[in-house]
Amino acid sequence: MSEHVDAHFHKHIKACVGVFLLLMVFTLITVGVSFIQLGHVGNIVVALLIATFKALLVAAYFMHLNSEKSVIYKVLVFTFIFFFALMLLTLFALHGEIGVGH
Amino acid sequence: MQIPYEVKPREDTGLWNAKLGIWLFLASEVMLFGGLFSAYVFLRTGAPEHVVGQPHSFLEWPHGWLNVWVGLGNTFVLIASSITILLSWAAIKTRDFKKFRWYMGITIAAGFLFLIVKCGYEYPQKFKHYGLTAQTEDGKVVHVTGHIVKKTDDFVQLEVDPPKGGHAEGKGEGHGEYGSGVVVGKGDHGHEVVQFPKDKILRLSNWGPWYHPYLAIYFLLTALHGIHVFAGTLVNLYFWLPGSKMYHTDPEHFANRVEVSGLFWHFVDLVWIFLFPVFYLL
Repeated sequence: MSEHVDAHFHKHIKACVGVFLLLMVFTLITVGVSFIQLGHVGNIVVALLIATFKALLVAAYFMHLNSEKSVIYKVLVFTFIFFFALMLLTLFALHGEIGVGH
Repeated sequence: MQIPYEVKPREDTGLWNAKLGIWLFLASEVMLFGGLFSAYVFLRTGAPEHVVGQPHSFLEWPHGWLNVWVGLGNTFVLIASSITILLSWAAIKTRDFKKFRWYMGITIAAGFLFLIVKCGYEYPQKFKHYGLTAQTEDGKVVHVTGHIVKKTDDFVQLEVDPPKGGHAEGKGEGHGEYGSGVVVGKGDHGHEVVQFPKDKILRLSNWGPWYHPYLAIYFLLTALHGIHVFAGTLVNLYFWLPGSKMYHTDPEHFANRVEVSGLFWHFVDLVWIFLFPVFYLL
């Protein structure tokens, strides 16, 4: 039975092992940075930025999104529109644009 | 009769069926966890901020209630399992059954390890830990936390937690002022044991989700995540044992199935990448 793999496949696997090491390093960085006092908002922003970067690595490489078919991208565009709408609503509700805020 | 496009992709989308199916499902899962993260934002921003000079409010957002190193260990376990499930899929594509068995086995073990640490250690630690609020003679309240040493119909003995870096929740917490509580000795961990009469106790509760809004959203989000880890591990176990028969009859179809399971597993890892800093570090 023939293999269904090519050079691109092997490159992809190698890249993923590299991503795994990057993820471990950035996990340690996340913990290290949390001990530095950056102010209330500062620590939250940095932690979420690092987490988002790690999440993008997992999505792009492990989940193979950086070379996926356009139908998948079209589905995910809607997902992120709705996710950001949810976060925006949360923000609006907290700052008084909607309902009772602080 | 064979279902079309289980292996061969459709000409119009370039996808085989389950690939589109799993991504649609993961899109819905983003909204499920997203909604609960939004709830976390509301609870956290709604918590009172400490005003310097004023006593602390019980409802302030707490810090240091979770063991960072245990959480870090579990994070490494999940990230490692993410690469091993990918390598197990790659092994099917390169027709190395032994390698597939090896890497999928590690992935399954990692899933169970994560759950044993969470449900066998972290959660039970919370249920054994107590917070006690009691009246004092001068009409105020004292709040202490610790572990129950002895409980009778008349009193409760608590080995109190040492104060963390000077932060005291009202009177008490190892400062020697316990209102109606009396120090009766030292406990197994070297901390004071304080005895409170039952009739002065306003609240005695372990650190379950009912104890504080922080624990409520912590248990909800991590338990939902834990159920996903468990379900994913069961599916992986199926592919490791009875399901692996398909490797010998239709290996490309089997590779697709493992790829779909891998996508779910990566999503579970992705959620934890956010859960860990949010609850353990911030």
